[in-house]
Amino acid sequence: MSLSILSVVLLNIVTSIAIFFVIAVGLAVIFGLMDVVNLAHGEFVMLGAYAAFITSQLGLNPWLSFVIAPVIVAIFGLFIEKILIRHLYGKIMESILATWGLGIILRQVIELIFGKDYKIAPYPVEQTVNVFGAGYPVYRLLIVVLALVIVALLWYLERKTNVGVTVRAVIQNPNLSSALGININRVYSISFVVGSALAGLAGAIIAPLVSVHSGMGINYVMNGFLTVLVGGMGSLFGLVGSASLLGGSESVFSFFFDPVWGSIAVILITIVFMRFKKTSI
Amino acid sequence: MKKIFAILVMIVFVGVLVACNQTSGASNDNTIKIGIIADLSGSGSTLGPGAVNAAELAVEEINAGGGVLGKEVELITGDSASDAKTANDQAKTILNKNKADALFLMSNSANREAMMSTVEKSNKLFFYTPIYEGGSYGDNMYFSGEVPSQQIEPVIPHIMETYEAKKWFIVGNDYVWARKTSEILKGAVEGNGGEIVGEEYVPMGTSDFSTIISNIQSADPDFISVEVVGADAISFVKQLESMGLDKGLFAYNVDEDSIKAMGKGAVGMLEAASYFYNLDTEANKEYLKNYTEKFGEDAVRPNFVSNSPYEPIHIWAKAVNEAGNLEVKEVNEALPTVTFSGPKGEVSFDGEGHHASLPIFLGEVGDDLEVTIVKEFGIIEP
Repeated sequence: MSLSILSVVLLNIVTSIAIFFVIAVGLAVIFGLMDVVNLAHGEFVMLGAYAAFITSQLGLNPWLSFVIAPVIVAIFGLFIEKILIRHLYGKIMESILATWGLGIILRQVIELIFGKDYKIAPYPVEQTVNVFGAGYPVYRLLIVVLALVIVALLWYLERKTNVGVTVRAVIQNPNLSSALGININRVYSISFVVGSALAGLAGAIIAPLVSVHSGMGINYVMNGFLTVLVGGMGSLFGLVGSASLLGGSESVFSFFFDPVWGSIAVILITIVFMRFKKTSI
Repeated sequence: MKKIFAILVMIVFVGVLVACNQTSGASNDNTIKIGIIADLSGSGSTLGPGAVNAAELAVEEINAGGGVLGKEVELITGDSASDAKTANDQAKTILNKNKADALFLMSNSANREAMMSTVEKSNKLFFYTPIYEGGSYGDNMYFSGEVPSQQIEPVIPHIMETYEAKKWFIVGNDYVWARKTSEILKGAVEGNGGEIVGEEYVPMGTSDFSTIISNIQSADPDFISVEVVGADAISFVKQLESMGLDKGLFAYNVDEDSIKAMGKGAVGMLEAASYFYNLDTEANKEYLKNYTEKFGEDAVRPNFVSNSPYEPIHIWAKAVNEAGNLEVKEVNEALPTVTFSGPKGEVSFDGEGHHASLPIFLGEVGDDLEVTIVKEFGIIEP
């Protein structure tokens, strides 16, 4: 294997990990904090991708989609939290059913509005950089940078701000926090909105790589969910670790064996992890 | 109050389910009924509406020409919802309840397999219209779509010579059609002095092709055989382009709307099919004029997959008129004897495997993402 191919493979592994993380982080925020499994997460990602598509249709700079998509999906998340999620705190089974149904509704509504055909969102940067003689798209490297920015922001929010302290208190003991005068519904509401915004951002990030269509979310919710199960519950760096483990092994297995083995590896690792880990599911 | 609300929700829900299960069309003794099942919702729904349009147009033309056995043909439409169980339920409704005399299916192979026993028990004629992997089935079943040998055997020698394509790399979804296509492609490439330098199969719903593309880079082929389908094909071609790989592409199963979504990565891609929207023949111009008149300027553009029910419906009508009655045995005998000439050219069924002889064209995607026909191979037998 030549040096250029080896470096491209390594970059692919890093970018795959970044994509895994970006998809899973919104789900992890919601699940870790509220014990609500948002199975409509894939559809939230899809909404973000459609926001990126609309941004380009309006003739706006594609970079703006990284702002517009999270804002739109956050507003939508706020609305959904008020009418649906609020009634499901701590009820895992009920939340799975209700959000699965929400996902179906979202897919159909988007299909009614935008039609059934595939949409395109353009790349904000189309250049490639030279890596030991092989071209590598700048955009994929940008995804890694964005993932790192998300990690840094969330870490700062959780560890260095009052909001972070409140959130951690609510995760540790919701009843006691409530007794101490923390409005836990407000905390839940904020975290659902943040989770939705992150899903929207994920949609805008992956949209240029793939085709935007109403059924695209299904492809992402599964891997996102597995990533959260393996490492992400309530821990940001646990999520980074599990995204690295799952995303990394998928890439390595796909490259050296077969993409089908890559998918199998992700599920096998999750099963082994779940077997030896104490969790609520 | 809560209970009443819950009951109301249940009633509405059940009502919706019942409504979804009903197929349109009223029964009438003075008509002959046929059914079409297509993916009007769900993952296959980029192609379903066009299929129903093609069927409606065919039925309208048959009725304008005097109908079948002097009676009007009535089309019953069923939505498979891109789901095997729903597809089978729709087949049961159309064949057993609505007593249709022939059923046309424009959906994927999994949904076809799901309704096989229903179709066999009904003892009615069944036509599977889209491109598929080939194979043999029951006496009353007909297949009018392209099979891999038709898209590969005449075309590959031409591509290998014209584009100097010696080394081929296969990228497909991991399912029966791609595997079968690869098998035939390997024979054709190796038989003409070329070699397959790599093959990769990805699960359906794959969105990240970066590792595959690295494998392609290290294998350094002249041409890539694109056997990924639907949204996966679009992601693949887009990412291929963003990685700066400039290889020849050959596709079999990419409709013209998907080409538009692939963007400039698709420019130069070759595709073999029995029909293209831009086919420059009088028959196609006439067809597209009628199509636009009936469905309007904004209707979905017909492509070789979605438009596939058009010819078999006409062939069925001709065969029934030839037979003089609706007896399955006699229509079966008449079917291989009739030929229908439509927008793609002449189409007819063979008597043994019940597959269609079709004209095959090689299309090339231009800078405007429109397909132009670069070579005609004439009528190719299955």
